[in-house]
Amino acid sequence: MTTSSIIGIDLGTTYSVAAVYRNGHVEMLPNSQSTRKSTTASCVSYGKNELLVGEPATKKFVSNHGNVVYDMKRLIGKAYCDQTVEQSKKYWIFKLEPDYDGNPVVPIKHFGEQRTVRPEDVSASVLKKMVEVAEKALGVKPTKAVITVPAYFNQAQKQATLDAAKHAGLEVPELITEPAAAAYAFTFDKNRLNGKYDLLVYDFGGGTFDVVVVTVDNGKVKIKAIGGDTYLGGRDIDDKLADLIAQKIYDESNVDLREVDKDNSKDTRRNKAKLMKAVEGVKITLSDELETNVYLGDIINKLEDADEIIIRRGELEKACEDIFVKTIELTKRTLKDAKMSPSDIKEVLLVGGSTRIPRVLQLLGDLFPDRKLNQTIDADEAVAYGAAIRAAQIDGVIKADISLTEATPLSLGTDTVGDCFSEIIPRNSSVPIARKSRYYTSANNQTRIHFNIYEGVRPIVDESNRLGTIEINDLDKGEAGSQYVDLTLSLDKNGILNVFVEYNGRTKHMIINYVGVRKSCARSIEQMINDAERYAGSDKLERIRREKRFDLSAILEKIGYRIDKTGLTNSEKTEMQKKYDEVKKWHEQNAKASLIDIEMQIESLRKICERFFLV
Amino acid sequence: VEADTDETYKKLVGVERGTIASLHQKAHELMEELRGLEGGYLTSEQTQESLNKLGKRLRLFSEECMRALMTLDAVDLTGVDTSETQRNINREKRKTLVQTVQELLRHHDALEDRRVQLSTERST
Repeated sequence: MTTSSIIGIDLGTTYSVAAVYRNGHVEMLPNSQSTRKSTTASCVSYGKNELLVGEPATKKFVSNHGNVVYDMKRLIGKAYCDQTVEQSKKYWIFKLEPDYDGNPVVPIKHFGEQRTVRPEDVSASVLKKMVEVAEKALGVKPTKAVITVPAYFNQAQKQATLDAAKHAGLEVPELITEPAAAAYAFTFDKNRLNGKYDLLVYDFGGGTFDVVVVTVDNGKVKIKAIGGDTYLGGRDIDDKLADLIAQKIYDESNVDLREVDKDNSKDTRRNKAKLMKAVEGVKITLSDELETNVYLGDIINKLEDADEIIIRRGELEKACEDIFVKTIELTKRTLKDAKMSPSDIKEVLLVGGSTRIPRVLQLLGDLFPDRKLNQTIDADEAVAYGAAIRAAQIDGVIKADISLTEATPLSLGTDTVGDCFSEIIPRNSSVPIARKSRYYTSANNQTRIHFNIYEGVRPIVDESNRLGTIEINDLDKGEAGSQYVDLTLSLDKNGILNVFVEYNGRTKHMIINYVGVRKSCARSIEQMINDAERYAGSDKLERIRREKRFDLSAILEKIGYRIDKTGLTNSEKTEMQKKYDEVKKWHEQNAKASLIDIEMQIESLRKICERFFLV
Repeated sequence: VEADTDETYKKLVGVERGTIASLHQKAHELMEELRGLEGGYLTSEQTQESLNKLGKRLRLFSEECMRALMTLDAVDLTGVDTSETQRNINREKRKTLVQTVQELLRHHDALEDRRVQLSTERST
């Protein structure tokens, strides 16, 4: 029997898990410092004399508050100005500030020195810990790992995860998505390789929510549609619960823990750390019991130990109803993207700790009344399990006829004249993929073409994430439309983008500067898809208007090029030139002109051109 | 005027705007994807994986073309209320559409040849 040299790591928001395929089955690698079986808390404590990672770091929440850093997956690949970053700051016990590039960093005091750490550095420390855990269990230090990321991570977030792995000294042969890993685990572990059926994976974890529709066809696991939110998870439930408890404490004792920004004293921060510690326990207890109590003395020193407040499950459910309903709405939307109804789904797989909440199970039961919700795979370990199987397959240890095809959550493309989005790789396309599109010059004697590369879903680029720019120069001069350039976008197995431009045998390659992407405050996939739905009607009209405006500009270019090259008489030429100047001026001065006005200008040009056989 | 109101003609136009327009779009996408792979920008292994998937999609495309031909074949041109002139128009329309689908099938064959050739080149 053999052991895979590549391990699988589920790098989670709250907990991380490592697993390996050994002696014919997957083994979760145990962390002896953790009380929760194989999981390691994704938490780092920067102390005066030590660096603690995992469970020991969580124990420093109160004594080393401000230097204990966690939840970094919610920040990775994001800009400081991102809306969601602002939302989460409320109950974090560490400070957050922007660096000179506008990226979020955490100021900490480590070994007596004041410095800042980036989310990638914290994730790298967690990954190093996972390597340590694996080394202890396997006897050799692993150098390669298949790491999982949320299905809804954008390009910058995926790249930042790869950077963190590099800092931890890990080579990543493949980055796979968490729900895909869970589906892979289910298919392999439950021996469901034969036959064709559709699964829905509902992955409600600590920091992210993913929902995917998967088709399994004789061992071929293919992602059909992806949905979710990278900022929706158990942590949001914790924040709501913290609000609820803080309100009760205020009603009981007149101490307001929510006023932390006004009163940033050491005591308040320490009390807040104690509150967040209590919240986790309350949430877990309320998944099994109808009510629980919190002793006020456990949170605020000056209050009596015996004073307690009661928290009921109903209160928690009421406070978090909008979060639960949102996951159901996203599930419905993903089914719609996959062109399926709930009855088409054979199994609903539940993954992630937040799926233990009774209200979540009730709402899912209502959506899938004919299906049993499948909780047979371990909610905490399923993702790492799938990653380990994939790792062993890459290593050649598993020979089973099972394959994984992932999909891209956003469309990728470029802007055309008029800022319309020209889609090259559509959303939900299987990866790896490479697509080549041809673009023609839009102006006379144009010698360079400049492409902005975007990820988005709307027909206009205004609200899409700009990933970078590539330009090709020294094009042969000529009439507009006479020269063309081929633009290829390729997504590798990890969903990482490469851009190539070809002209007359010359090729240019673009490396995306993800730091720059973050500076521009990249929008989350969830935000972009919501906006795309909301503005679908007006976007369509705006795109038609912009395309028409481009048509007018193309006609003007053609006339401008041909006016001197055709055999017009002097008077005809003067008449044509006059009309050309008049419309060109109108075009330049009326960027926001309506569709009808543009059409009228085109018509007036067409009439005169037809008379002179010009265009 | 009759052409705009004739049920058979309307049915043929429906096939043209629905099924055949969608086939044109798919043919364009398949070509862009093959051209992307021909660029050699993915690793050999990933190119091979993508070529296999493309092969499956090409087979589906060819089946859709065949289904479109069957749909066109099933359109009844002998309506009792249809004038002889209109029947001729409908016949011509159907002929044009059949030729379009056959052109798409030829396009498919060319793409499949290129795909197989690329697959052979990459595996050697």
